[in-house]
Amino acid sequence: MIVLKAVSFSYGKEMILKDIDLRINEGEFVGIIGPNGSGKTTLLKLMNGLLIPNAGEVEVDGMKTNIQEQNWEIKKIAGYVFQNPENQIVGITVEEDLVFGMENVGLPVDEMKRRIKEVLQFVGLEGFEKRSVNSLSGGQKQRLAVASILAIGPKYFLFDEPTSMLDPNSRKDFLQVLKKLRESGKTIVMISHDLEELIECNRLLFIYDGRVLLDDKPVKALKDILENGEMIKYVDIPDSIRFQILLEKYGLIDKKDYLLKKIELIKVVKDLVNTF
Amino acid sequence: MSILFKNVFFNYKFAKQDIKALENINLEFKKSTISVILGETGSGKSTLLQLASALLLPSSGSVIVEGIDSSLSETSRYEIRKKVGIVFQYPESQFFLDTVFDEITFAPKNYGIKENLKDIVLKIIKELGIDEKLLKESPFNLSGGEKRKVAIASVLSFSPDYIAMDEPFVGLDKTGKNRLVDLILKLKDQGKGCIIVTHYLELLKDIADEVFVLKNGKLISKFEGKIFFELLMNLKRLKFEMPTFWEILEVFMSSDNKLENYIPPEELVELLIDFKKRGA
Ligand SMILES: Nc1ncnc2c1ncn2[C@@H]1O[C@H](COP(=O)(O)OP(=O)(O)OP(=O)(O)O)[C@@H](O)[C@H]1O
Ligand SMILES: Nc1ncnc2c1ncn2[C@@H]1O[C@H](COP(=O)(O)OP(=O)(O)OP(=O)(O)O)[C@@H](O)[C@H]1O
Ligand SMILES: [Mg+2]
Ligand SMILES: [Mg+2]
Repeated sequence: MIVLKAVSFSYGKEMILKDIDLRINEGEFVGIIGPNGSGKTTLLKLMNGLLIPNAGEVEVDGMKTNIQEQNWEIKKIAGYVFQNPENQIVGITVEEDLVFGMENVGLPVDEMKRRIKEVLQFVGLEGFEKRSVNSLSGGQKQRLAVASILAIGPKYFLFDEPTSMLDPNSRKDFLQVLKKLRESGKTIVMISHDLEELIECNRLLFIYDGRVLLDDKPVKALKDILENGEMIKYVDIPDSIRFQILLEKYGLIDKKDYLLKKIELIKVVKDLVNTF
Repeated sequence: MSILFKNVFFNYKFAKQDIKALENINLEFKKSTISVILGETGSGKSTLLQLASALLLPSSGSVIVEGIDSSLSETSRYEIRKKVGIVFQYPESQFFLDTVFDEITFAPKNYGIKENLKDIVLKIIKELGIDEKLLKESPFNLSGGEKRKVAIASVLSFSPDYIAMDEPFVGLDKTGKNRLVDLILKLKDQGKGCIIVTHYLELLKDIADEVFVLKNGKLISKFEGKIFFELLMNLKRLKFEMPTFWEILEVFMSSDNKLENYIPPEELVELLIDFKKRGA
């Protein structure tokens, strides 16, 4: 469990996060949305001790990020994937970059070898082991950043816009990766400006000016946002989601307390057309 | 006048590795046009933009900008860089100065632009929605979306004839995206050529005059972007994972209702309600 207790944070001048109380339970998938500069990245970096609060405390499985030895242990079980992969990649080659993270958690060599093969396949970079990291394209770097955290296999995954540089087909593949992680009981916290990626999350948080304004099931949160003149300015609600909400509103389909996946929604529409 | 690629090949030489990035590219980017480049990861999009702005030179073939061949001389490349501005895929790779203000004003100073720098900056940050108080911050100490906007501002500030943007919408919130769409449309009206690499297919219907598709370093398709149904069919043919709502619209387009243009969910729901009434 990740617990934030009355957390405030500043980079030096004004307060960026203001008195946040938040709890992420084991096995949950939590989505984070909100305007540019509202504090999403800052919040995620506080969750694995990359940043330490100015006031309040962050606890991960009972350990505190502000105690140095515990901070090390926390980093092993909570992996943060950077918004800009270039800030995360440390190796000279793809393989070295993956090894770096795994050595930190003390994995045996055989296991490292096995994982390198596995994660590169997972993210569609098979055969890139010996490639220099500087020779990767933008999207390839992002895949490597994801792969190096997958290789460590932490309990908590903190993803900061992990698909932003991926093409639509690769983005779909990433959703499969998320699904596998969830099936194996991992906890996921993910920031995204693309709500279609967060359809299946358990809770959606809306961050605004350093505070958590909404924390609810995605359907409920999105309906609130749609009805709020200020919040809706910053959240791109995809046509498909607005469409489902409208179909329900006008009684064309039954009201649901979850968002339909792509294939489900398309099927619903086809069925609807057939009944006319 | 235009940016012309003639039989362009490009290989990266990296240590002992020779990586083929572009193969026999022939195309033209014109002024007053929004050209969008699509393609999967590693297909050569960023390489193409860097060739268009003379940051890279073709391994063979030529890139000719407004009649100037980038392979000719250092002077020709300087001239091209003044005409073609490029916004990098990762904004931080573009930054090198201490403050956001210096970053945005570097290029106009460098290229000897006479206008008042402060005026230029204030106008651009307003259009992009950059908070004025960020001007004295380090560009490295901003949020992801703020960095992206500053990177765009630092190129628009010297008003090049062509603006090549590599994933400019990534990381922007809804307001930021909308502002950028408006700005791109305005640049086109002012006669600029906009070359945009993006993965956001939803935005194509709003901006794309023409679409170029790369795959494994080759240009595999080029089509017009203005007619929605054609756009949709072309993307489908190329096996792109489509926006969900577009696939829903397609259900109506391919049935006998002859929907040709994009309509928003609100209108589609009205249409359905209408169907239901007539059916009953
Ligand atoms: N290293 C830093 N030093 C100083 N201020 C910073 C630093 N990083 C971020 N900030 C400021 O803190 C605020 C919150 O930034 P943060 O990166 O958490 O936003 P965000 O919600 O992730 O935004 P985005 O959607 O643009 O990525 C912003 O106003 C930003 O300018
Ligand atoms: N600096 C470099 N040195 C060597 N090879 C490179 C370099 N930059 C890119 N490449 C390789 O060239 C090919 C094309 O890369 P490019 O960056 O143009 O792709 P892209 O279409 O922009 O991809 P993405 O959508 O991931 O950004 C890829 O195979 C990539 O690995
Ligand atoms: Mg961020
Ligand atoms: Mg690229």
